Amino acid sequence: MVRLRIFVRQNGLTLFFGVIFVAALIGQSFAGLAAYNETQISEHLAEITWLQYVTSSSFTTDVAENWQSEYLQFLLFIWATVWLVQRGSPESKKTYEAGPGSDEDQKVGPAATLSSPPSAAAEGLRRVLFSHSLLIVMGSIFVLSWLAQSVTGVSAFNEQQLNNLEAPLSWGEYVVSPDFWSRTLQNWQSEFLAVGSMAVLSIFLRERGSPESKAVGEPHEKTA
Amino acid sequence: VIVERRRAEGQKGRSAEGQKGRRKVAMRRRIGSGAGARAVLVASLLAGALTAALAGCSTLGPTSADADATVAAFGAALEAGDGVTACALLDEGAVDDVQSQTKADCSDGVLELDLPVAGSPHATEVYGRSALVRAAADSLFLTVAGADWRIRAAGCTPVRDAPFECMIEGG
Repeated sequence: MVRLRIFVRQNGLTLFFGVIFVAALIGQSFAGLAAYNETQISEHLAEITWLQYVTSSSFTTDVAENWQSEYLQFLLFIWATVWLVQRGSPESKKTYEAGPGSDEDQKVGPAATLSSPPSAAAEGLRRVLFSHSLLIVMGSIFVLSWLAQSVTGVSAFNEQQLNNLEAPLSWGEYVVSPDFWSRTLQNWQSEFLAVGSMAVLSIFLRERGSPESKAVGEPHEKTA
Repeated sequence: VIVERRRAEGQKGRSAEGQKGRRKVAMRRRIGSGAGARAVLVASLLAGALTAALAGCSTLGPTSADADATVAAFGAALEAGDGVTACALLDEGAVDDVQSQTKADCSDGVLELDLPVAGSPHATEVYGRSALVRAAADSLFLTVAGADWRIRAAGCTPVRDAPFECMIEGG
């Protein structure tokens, strides 16, 4: 019991977001089912069950289009903060630190310490891959989610096309269609706005105790 | 649109001290030597979940072969003058349309409309709970009703940049 309490306390952030993710996904499934069935009824088509909805392309594309944009947001944020800085923002390195940093700064190769991960001390491809592993994994999830959005999106779009007695599109036609890009860009713009505004607002605003914020008493112009 | 949450820290490469330094150490502990593999595993699970959902689309409900069979049965019923069987293969909206157009029971009306007998399907596309079956003499739109396909529109001809024009259509 004590070990469980310690585990929960030490992993609270992950557990909290894991729980609210699952709760939100379940909520989305029921709200989406209700919306889907409203459309079915208005088109004089049969309603579907929850299980049929959560395995439908309609639900999957709604999920995938949000996932891809979130992972793109992280991907760009990780990459951009290597090379770009924002004076005064706790999200930024100091203005003279732009770039990947020296091996000493990064504690890689001969500069690795005893507590460094073995891959940081390794030579060659292993170290290169580990040095960019966060970007690689986030990027891979982004690409896979975007691909999933396109595959499920064409199916959902074509189902609606058929309901309207219109011809379906091929995958190639769909990925250059207004529907695909409208779904994609409406998510991207909100993510970019959120990251940009966080970088700027955190220059002047504070949240006491949050590692996302400077200490309340830090000057506005202090970066990182 | 999902609410954002950022902070993928870790790789920010700060030669940090104080708070930033502590975060960096914590992240390094989390990443650890096996974390790359764990992250790949998580990515694979996410992709797998999506793939499973995709696969699920095709495992629940009737198949494209079932759609072809429904169209074949509808054509056979029309050829045999069996209006009762033909109407049993139509969805509710299509039955209403037949009765509305002919002012007769569906079983009589569907034969009066002189619908084309589709023949062998040469292209069948299924998306979700809808299907389009193209055959030599007709194109038909189908929808899932219960565990079976039902014909939603028949006697359909394509119109450029517009919906098909159909002799009967439900919904």
